[in-house]
Amino acid sequence: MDRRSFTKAMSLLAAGSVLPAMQVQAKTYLSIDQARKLLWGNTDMSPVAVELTDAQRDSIKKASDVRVRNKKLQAWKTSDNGWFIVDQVIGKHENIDIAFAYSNEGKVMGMEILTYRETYGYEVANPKWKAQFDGKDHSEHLKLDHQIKNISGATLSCRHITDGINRLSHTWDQVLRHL
Amino acid sequence: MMNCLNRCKPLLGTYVEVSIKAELSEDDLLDLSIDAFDAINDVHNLLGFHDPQSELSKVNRLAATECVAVSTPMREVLETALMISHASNGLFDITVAPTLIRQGSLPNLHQDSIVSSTGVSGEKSGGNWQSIVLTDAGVEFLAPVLIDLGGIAKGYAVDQAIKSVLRGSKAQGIDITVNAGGDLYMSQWQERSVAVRLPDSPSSHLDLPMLAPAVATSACYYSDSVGGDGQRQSVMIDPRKAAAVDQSYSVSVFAQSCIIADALTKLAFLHPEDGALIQSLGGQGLIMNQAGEVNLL
Repeated sequence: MDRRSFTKAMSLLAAGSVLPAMQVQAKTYLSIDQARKLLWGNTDMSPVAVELTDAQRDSIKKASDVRVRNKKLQAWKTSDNGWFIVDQVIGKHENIDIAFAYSNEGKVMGMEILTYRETYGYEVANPKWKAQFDGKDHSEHLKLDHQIKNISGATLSCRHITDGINRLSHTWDQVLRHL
Repeated sequence: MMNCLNRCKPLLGTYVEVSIKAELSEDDLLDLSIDAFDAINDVHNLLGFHDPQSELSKVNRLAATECVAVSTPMREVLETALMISHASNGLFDITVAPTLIRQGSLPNLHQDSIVSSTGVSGEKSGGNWQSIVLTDAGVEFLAPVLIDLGGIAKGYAVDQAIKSVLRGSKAQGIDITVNAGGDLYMSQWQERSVAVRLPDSPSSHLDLPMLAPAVATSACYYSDSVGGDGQRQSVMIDPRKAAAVDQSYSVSVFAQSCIIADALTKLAFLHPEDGALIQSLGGQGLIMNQAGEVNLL
């Protein structure tokens, strides 16, 4: 491509989209129902109200070396003692909702990212930015023709997910397996 | 009816997105996305440096002492890597792993004897990409080296995912995009744009026109590892110096395949002056500075 056709291609983009840099948006992928179908098919499951005690949170933190932020766990138990868990992983730059499938032996059978929000500190502190997520759960997942914004940039590491898995695996070991 | 599906999974050390839009049922779209993720998972399992059980780890353990038979993906990636190394006179080099291990960006999985002979303890090693010999029988190292495919395998995985979906019987009219942490391919790329992060503030981006179906970007903004001096450590290695390079610009390369786009960003980052080299290998490079100004290479 020569310089002139590149300039022309740039000018074809929507006016104003080039000059002011825009904030990277939050992205929504599967709904909880879609993730459940992908991970567990038609396996029967029922919701279980899991609330971790302070002692359990301390103990999970000690075993996994990962802080346990939430007392409540959004979890479903399947007919053969497997688990479907929807949980949040908070990393340095990201805040991610993930659905996990755990087998009846506590092994991760699969996972699906449901929403991905980039955070750089200041957004979390900004009430307007925060408000757009408050009170929303995945049942509100809009089934619109939503197009995911394609973003190119140097690779973002996903090691916080590894921490999340580690924490949940110890949660299974210490709590869920006994329920 | 037109349906769309967006999925995202952690693979290849990053977040991989698969977006499909087609006149198919939601179940068909799910099946296609499963094909795409399976293809990426295969590449992840074969070519990963971090997994001691991967084919790459086997090659790194054994190829200095014997010829190791390789899978088709390993062969295709090595062929492309060596072709680009040859064309760039070694500016692209998949044997920079010891430098990455030394600065803590890659794990040290191998026996200390192998690693120290490749220069991981500090001295520059004698081996480089020219020590890798790929024949019909397999791969062999003429001098002790360690291969890391982190600069090329993500692009290859994206291409494999796209192929696995578009070769199916339901491929007609499918609009699919696979994005592996910024290395991406759009089947219907004409008149589409891509958001490229600003080098100095990755939470912001500029929309740029797609110039080809594939694009990849290199920059230093997510360099999380910290060197011995406590400074942020870039994972962009200049093979000529066996040392990390930190620059305030980013480069993006557009190409017909994502493996080429991915690999060529390393050349463009290390030597942005040589746009002709990028073009001779089938890429079109762009450089973006901290102010968000973009120039063709």
